[in-house]
Amino acid sequence: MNNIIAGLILIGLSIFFFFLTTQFPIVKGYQQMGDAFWPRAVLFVLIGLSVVLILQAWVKGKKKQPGKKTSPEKTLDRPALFKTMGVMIVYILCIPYLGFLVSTFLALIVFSYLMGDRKASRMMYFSLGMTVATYLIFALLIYTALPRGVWIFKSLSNLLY
Amino acid sequence: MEVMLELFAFGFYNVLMPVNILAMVVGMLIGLLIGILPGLGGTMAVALIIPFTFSMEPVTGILILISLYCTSTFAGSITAILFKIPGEAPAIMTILDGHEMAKRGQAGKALGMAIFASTLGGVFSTICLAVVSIPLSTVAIEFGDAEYFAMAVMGLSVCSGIGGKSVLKNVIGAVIGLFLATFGTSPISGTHRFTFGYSGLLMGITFIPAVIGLFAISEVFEEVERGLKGGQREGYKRQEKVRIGMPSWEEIKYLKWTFLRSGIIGTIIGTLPGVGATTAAFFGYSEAVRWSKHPEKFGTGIIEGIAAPETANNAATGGAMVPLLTLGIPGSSVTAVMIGAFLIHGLRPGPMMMMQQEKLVYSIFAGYFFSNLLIILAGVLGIKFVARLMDFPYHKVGPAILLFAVIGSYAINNSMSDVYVTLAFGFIGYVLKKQGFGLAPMILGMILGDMAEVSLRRALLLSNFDPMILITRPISAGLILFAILSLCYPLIQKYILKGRGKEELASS
Repeated sequence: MNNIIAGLILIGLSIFFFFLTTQFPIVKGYQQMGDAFWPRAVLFVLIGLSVVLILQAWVKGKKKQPGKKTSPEKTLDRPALFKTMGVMIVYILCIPYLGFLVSTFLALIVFSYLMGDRKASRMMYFSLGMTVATYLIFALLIYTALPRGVWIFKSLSNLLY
Repeated sequence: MEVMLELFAFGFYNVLMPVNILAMVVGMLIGLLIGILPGLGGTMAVALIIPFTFSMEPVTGILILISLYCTSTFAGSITAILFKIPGEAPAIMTILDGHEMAKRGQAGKALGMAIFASTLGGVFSTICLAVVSIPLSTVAIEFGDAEYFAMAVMGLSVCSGIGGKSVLKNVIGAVIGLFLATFGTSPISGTHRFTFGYSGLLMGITFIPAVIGLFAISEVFEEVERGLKGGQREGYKRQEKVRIGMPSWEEIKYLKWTFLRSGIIGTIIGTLPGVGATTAAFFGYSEAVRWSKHPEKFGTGIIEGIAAPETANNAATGGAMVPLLTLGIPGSSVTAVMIGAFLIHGLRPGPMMMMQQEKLVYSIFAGYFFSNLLIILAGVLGIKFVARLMDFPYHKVGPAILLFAVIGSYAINNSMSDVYVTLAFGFIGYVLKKQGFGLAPMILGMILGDMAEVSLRRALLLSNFDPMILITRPISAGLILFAILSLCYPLIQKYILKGRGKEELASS
């Protein structure tokens, strides 16, 4: 069933992108083999392969004996996964506002907690150590223009690098 | 021949002067740091160091850069093996088997193989550089668009064999990679494709951030999902006592053809302008899969999977110098920047330099030789420094990987767009892995997509849209024929085996 859904999603996306290729401007001198040629060729192949994937899954599903139980799935820690994914998104979205150093310091504490650390002082020291090391190597040693953030965070980063 | 040996002797004498040894060690240390830190590339480091070489003797200055280049190409494999983050792009293929070995507690052995293979590949290409640089450069010049396209087809023909268990899903993965490579500004006419009005996508999907997301971030997500008991991964084995696990004599004998094949592939690909160590590593790996007796084991953590790409990527460093020294055309982005180092010393690489500055040229050859030997020292230092980090509890390793992934992708272009790409590909990688799609074929498609499109369109434009150009040029026809044969080989093999099985059944 998963493969049928995956195949349908791939076909849907391919049709969407195929539609987008019709909006590419035609550049003079490249009418015969324009910029849409290659993406379209690739999308055609992708649609064909997705159809094969669906058919393969459908035939396999038919052959499968009804009522036969599959082995139980291993227990997965989905709540922790979704929390980690959420924090990752929030962390990256916060970087332009809080600046790289502040958002990294906070994110590392939360990540450590989500990944099983329960000792507050250890989480703080680890997070601070990693942030300082990143600052020393990237901001001071090789002059990477780390995002500064806005408002007081910008003033704070201006003091540091 | 005698003159050549004399020049070699002079080159070795020159390179072994204390000041030059010191220069190579400094280059090695910088290369090691650059290679280990994700997001910092050899090209950038060479560009930063060139001004410092101005006051030095030409040989000394160039030796620093050569040593930096060779070491950084190797050092990227350290973080690739330990944390699934390639410190440098050429280490991408090393992730596939290297990290699997590290997960089994064999990080020392995996790193030892990476050191050995890198050194061997580098030394092999140095010998090629010295002996056959002129004939090699004439072959490289014969490569036109049709040949590049044929080479891309040959590379893509192995996609079914690497990655996940399903051949169909592996092929779909490669096609998705080919499609993703079309994002951004069209390489031929400059039209914007699939940019959705977002300037961050004008240059297309940046490759390293995408790889970091696909492999590193998705891996952390998977580890968290599998459950972390007391901050440690389930089923994780502590590392063997991290000694440099250099390969045994038996292993070297077993891998002799892999080393030779990858050395030749790496050197030849290195000589081709525009394609460098990353493509060489990919072809080294894919050909190892193609010729292996057990291709299904690739990706599960076998030493061939490290030996092949690591030999090839370091062999490409020597290969990249061939067109630079013989024709004045750089073979890679690093050697393109390195031209600057020659120019500030009043030297212009090319045929005239080969004839008029023979002593300098042979000192460069000798410098390559010793720089590749220095990889062993770099490996020992680097591994001592980072290998133990593997045993840290996951509540330290996981957040550190996420931090390196973010800073690594950001530092490439100082751009948040690259970080967004990393994040997006982290999610894409997680979903695709869950559904059984191979990530390695997807990377393959992304690497070769641009080359395939540009060379095909240009070849057809130049031939007035006559597709026969692809099969009437001998090198191109040979490569395409080879690709078709290798695609059909599993089917033929299956047919023959079926026939044999029937015969055996009948006779019994």
